[in-house]
Amino acid sequence: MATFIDSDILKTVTPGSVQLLLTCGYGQPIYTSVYLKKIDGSIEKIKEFEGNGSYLHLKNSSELQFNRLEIHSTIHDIRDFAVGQEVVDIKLYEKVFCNDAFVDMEISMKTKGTGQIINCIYEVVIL
Amino acid sequence: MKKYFSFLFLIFLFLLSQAQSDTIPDIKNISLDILKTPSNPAFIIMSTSPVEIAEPTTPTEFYISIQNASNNFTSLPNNYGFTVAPFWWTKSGKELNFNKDFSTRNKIYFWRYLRLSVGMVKGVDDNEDLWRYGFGFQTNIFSGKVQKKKKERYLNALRSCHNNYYQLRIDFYKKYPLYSKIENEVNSILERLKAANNSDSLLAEELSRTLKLKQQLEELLLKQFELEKGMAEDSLSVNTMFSDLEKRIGFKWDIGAGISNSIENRWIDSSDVNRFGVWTNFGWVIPISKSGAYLSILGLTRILAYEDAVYQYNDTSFYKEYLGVYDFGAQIKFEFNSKFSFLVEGVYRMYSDERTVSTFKVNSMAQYKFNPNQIVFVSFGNEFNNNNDQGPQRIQLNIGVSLGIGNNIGVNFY
Repeated sequence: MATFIDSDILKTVTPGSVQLLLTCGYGQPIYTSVYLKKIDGSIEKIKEFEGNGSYLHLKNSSELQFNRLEIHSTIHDIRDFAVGQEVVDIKLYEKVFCNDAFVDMEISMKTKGTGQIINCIYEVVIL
Repeated sequence: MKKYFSFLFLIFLFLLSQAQSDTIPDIKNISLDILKTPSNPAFIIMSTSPVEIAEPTTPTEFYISIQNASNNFTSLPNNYGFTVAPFWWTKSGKELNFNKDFSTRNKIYFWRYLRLSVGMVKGVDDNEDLWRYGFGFQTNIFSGKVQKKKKERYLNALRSCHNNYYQLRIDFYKKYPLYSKIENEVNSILERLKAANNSDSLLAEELSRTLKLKQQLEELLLKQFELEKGMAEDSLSVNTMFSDLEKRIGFKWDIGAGISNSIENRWIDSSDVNRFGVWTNFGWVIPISKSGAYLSILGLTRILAYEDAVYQYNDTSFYKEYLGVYDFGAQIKFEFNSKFSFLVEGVYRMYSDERTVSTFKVNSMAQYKFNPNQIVFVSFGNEFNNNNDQGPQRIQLNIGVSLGIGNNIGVNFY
């Protein structure tokens, strides 16, 4: 079990859809939940999905402004590459974007053996 | 407020680092049980594989084979080989999707399962100075499909692990008032920014700083959380379910080709093509019980060309520059459970020259997985005759062990 954590601020200008692109490489299984952390302290799960996600609509920027999104992904490490092949065996890319801006994060790592559970928490403040 | 938080955070950071300085989370001992007995195409072309008909599998990314077929196990292994899958070196490997790779539909692939292998046999044809090198490739066209129910069970286990982690993490954070304070502080800044219509640059900077502070605090809390919780049971459940997922059913079909060279006394100028050929394995894997028993029915077609073949016919022998060999075989395999399997195979061989007599090979193999990623197997059968005696002459017994190294790197000792 290992966890990675990151945060960013997404500055929206024009109203529109806030979307998520999530890619977990090397065929590693991944499960993701997206939580909306509201300004009043309440938390609401707005999306839950297995596998990669491309251009997933989360909510409109007007609904998200001054709130936070927490994207929690769990990766099961089922692959291990030998010396001479890949230097990493987990690669996760997440991008949250709207009409005018985007924020992103990437994790690349080499693990020992297989079978580990890796969690990644990405918090995005929408302004 | 900012100074208050920074001060508290420093105290917290110090206390937490003291608490965890002597322990490191152990995540190295978790392992998947996914090792199989692989077929090395280079060994197939050199006729040193323990089985003639190999079920098309989804192989590990890299494996090494070390083999010692006979000699009463008194000598060092004399056959070595390794196989690699070049798919993983390309962009396709980076972009591979789990759902595509573990599909519940049987799809055609070629590049995904292509593997290249090199093998070496020392001391062939009763000549210690004669070495043989084999180069081969093999790929699956149909790999079978993942069982839908098993995939659902696995994904449910992964989802459960994911949700448990989230809930336990939130409950753990609640034990630390500093976390709640910093969360409230972020919300407070956001409220003020909202009131200022997002036009206060100082507030935006304060938000950025507080977020960084919050991230550092969470990183520390998470280290402590992982030390305390471990989530070992969840990891075990997910790993067990995944190991079950590895067995694919339905129609399977692979193709392979290879060439072997003989070299005497390791002199390159003595290098000579020994044989080359193409082959295909195909068949069905059918689940026969809910407890994990499977029946496999497989077929083989193989065309080989021997260069400089010497064939014994009664008391005389004849030489042929290129002798074609056509093999047709069938195999039936029972996997009684995840630990024990047994197979019987027969291959009928015909030659391209009229002066030859067709021959056959019958082989059986029992395999037992005594521990995860640790397999012992025994194979028993005859070799093909290179003379006009149709019946079995040379009976061979192989005992081998396959040991997983780093799980996806398998080493096989025959």
